[in-house]
Amino acid sequence: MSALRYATLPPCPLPFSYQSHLPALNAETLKRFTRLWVGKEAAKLNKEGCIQAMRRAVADPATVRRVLDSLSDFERAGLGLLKRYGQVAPTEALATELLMLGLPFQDDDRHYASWGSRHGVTYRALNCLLQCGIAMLHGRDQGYGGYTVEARIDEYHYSPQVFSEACLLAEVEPVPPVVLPLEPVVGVTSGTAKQPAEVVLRLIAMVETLRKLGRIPLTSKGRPTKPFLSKLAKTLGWDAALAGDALTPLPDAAFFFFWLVNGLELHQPLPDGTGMEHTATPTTWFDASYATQAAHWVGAYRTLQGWVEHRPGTVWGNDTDPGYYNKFTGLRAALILALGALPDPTAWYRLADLSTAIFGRIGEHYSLTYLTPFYAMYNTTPEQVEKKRQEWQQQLLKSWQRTEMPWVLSAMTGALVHLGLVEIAGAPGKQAAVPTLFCLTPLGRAVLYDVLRGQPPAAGVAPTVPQRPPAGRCWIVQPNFDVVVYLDQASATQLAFIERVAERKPSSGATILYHLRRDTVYAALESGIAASTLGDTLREASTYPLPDNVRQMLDEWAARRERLTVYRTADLVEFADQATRDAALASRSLVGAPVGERFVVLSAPHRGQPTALQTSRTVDYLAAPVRCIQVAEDGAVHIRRTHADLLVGGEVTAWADPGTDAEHWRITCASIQRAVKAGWTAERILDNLAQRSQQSVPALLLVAIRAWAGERALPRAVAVASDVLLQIADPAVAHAVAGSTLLQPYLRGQLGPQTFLVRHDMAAELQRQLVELGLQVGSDLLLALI
Amino acid sequence: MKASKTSKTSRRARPPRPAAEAVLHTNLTLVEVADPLLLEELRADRQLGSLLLAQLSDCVAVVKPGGGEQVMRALLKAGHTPKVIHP
Repeated sequence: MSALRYATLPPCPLPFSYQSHLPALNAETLKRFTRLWVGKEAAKLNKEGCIQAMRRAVADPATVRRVLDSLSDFERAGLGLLKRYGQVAPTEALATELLMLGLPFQDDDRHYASWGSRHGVTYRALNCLLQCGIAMLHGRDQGYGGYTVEARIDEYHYSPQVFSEACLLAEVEPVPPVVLPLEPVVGVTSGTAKQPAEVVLRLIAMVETLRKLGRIPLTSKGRPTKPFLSKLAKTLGWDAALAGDALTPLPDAAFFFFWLVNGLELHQPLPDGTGMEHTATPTTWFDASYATQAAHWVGAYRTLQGWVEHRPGTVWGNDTDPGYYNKFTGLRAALILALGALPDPTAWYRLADLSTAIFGRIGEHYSLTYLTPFYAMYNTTPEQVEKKRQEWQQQLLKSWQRTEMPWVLSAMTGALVHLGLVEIAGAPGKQAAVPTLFCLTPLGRAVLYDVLRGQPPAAGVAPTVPQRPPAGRCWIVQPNFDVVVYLDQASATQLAFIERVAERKPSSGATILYHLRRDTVYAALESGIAASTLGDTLREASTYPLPDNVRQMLDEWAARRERLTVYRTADLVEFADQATRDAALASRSLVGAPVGERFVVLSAPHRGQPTALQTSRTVDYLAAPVRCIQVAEDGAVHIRRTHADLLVGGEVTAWADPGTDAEHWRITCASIQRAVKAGWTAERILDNLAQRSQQSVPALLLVAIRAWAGERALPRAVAVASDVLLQIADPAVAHAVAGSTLLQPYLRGQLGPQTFLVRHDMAAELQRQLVELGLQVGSDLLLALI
Repeated sequence: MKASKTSKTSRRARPPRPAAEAVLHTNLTLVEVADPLLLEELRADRQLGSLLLAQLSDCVAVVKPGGGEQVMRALLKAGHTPKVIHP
């Protein structure tokens, strides 16, 4: 199975209902499913009969309750886990969580393993749910493994999601996992933990930075491009500080929070599939209580794609492949469930003990690397089998301690601490250089432990989750433009505001330092914060009055921005005169702002909409330039008013002299030389002329413009002289002269391609004309008597 | 926006007046300033001047098509903080 197929859903997945999926199952599987719902009668039904019976049973609340009552604790706990996910769970996560429950399940595949096949060992608990029909794989027979309709999963038959019928999940009560055999540690006075406000601040900073960076470009595999991620990490500047934290190192912190925000669905894909953009309401999202937000953090962290806590050296895989992260998703889900299976949610435990306890639940079924299967040799006694099994378990434990345990320690001291869910500490009485103990924070208890039991903890037994503060006075603005923010007093909206208007300085703990700068205030104003809102919000949340110099400078920065406005892709209506423009505005035939004497910039909401105003034509400046000028051989330029756009006047001004009015201009040696001084080249002028001219530009004028621009360097000419003869070295110039109506009166005839006979009496005048056109006698051409 | 009096230097770059009916110009980038002297200053800038192709008034100039990003970069580099109005 390819990696992409392994990790992604089919293009048109079926809805999450049994009704849609039942027809894809074979008759034998259907009968087994139906037996749970209608009893032994199922054996007498054909496939269609089973489907109809199942449909009726699922719609009957009494049957649903009877089915739930008949389920084992393991099966009801499995449904409880699915309910916690909503209705649909990632296969890898649910498979290891079911193993972590510690509840007994019917393992039909236990005896089928051999040295050459693991026979879906990781999915044995999940297969128990699938085979009795209380959960189903999503996406079967829509592009995945159409050669089988068996309701099971293993190395060769895979679907990325598992779901159950909504009516079952609505009725099921959660069954907590079996408590892990852990010994609490006493005498721990304090540890290291992150406050919920710090986590919210990180997420808000990430969201604000992503908003400033704009669109998130995606690769063809649908992942953010590496240059974008590098730019994001550099902008945030978190990586070095958090990775270097001695007690709670978090590698690639920017990527961790980026993928977490990605999992929180605070971004949405663009319709063209080439990128993502932030949704409009992230600040509203952060206004929820800490416990509500943390439940989302846990969900996003459990299925995190694109970042891993620690990659053991023996784990192979390509980190650009989405399937690479599935193994880590499984272990992460097991760890999170293990934290919900602690004997006492308020006690301290050893990290190493937790790792061993997780191994005790899933170690025989799961490994980040290759999992050696256990099989009994033929013709061995039960004692020999048991001895062999113990040796195998020891081998697995050693492998776990080499590979999975470092990952567990990294996750506990890194991601889970930085999510505010776990507190860590060193052993009592010892220097806490290396954390060895952990305890759930109040927030961690609420979202990891209590959630599996479906009821809040008794009041007074444990510290409660800190409450998100209401918006109040939470910072001090200092005369040097520093803003000291008290995290425990700042609301999410205030944090988002200060993150947007000021630059965050490296700081940690209860206060965060920001600095107001002109460019950050400008960026905030550009993001849509009104100048008055900026000053008011700073003042209202400040413990002391705003310093005068800060207030004045904020006003000045805002006023400075008002001095200069850039309209991007604006639409403009041009009128013949000011009176007509004013009359149109007064009659409300269009909505916009007057500009200059004759123009109106249409207001943004009215762009592209038909107006009551009749327009004679439309000029689109994203299209090719309008051809609206006529050029004569003598350099006369006529702008045709009925075709002109707004730019042609400016272009012609650059390389022509004004004529009698705004429509008539003339290209002269002086005008071209002025343009060259201003940075134009002959080629640019000729290109401009070619784009704008309604006919082809006269050849002689092309020659003249090149000459006036100083780009002609012609070889020396030769002539046989006994009369007045004009010989031109350059064939292009000769062609221009031959076709020129301006020069025809001076010429008697053409003797050859580059040789002309000149009227004797007009030779001097011709020479003057040629010089005026920039052609020098003696270098570019030769006049001689023959 | 206000319509200010015209100057001799800017009149030359202004577009010719159209026929009696109105003309709709779409997808233009415009620069508007509060003070005509500021526009003169921008036009005198070597980089910005080449991008401002026409003046609609003493305070409003039209940017060369496709030059919007260049103008923004040049303005920010020159220390201006323009208010950007997107459609």
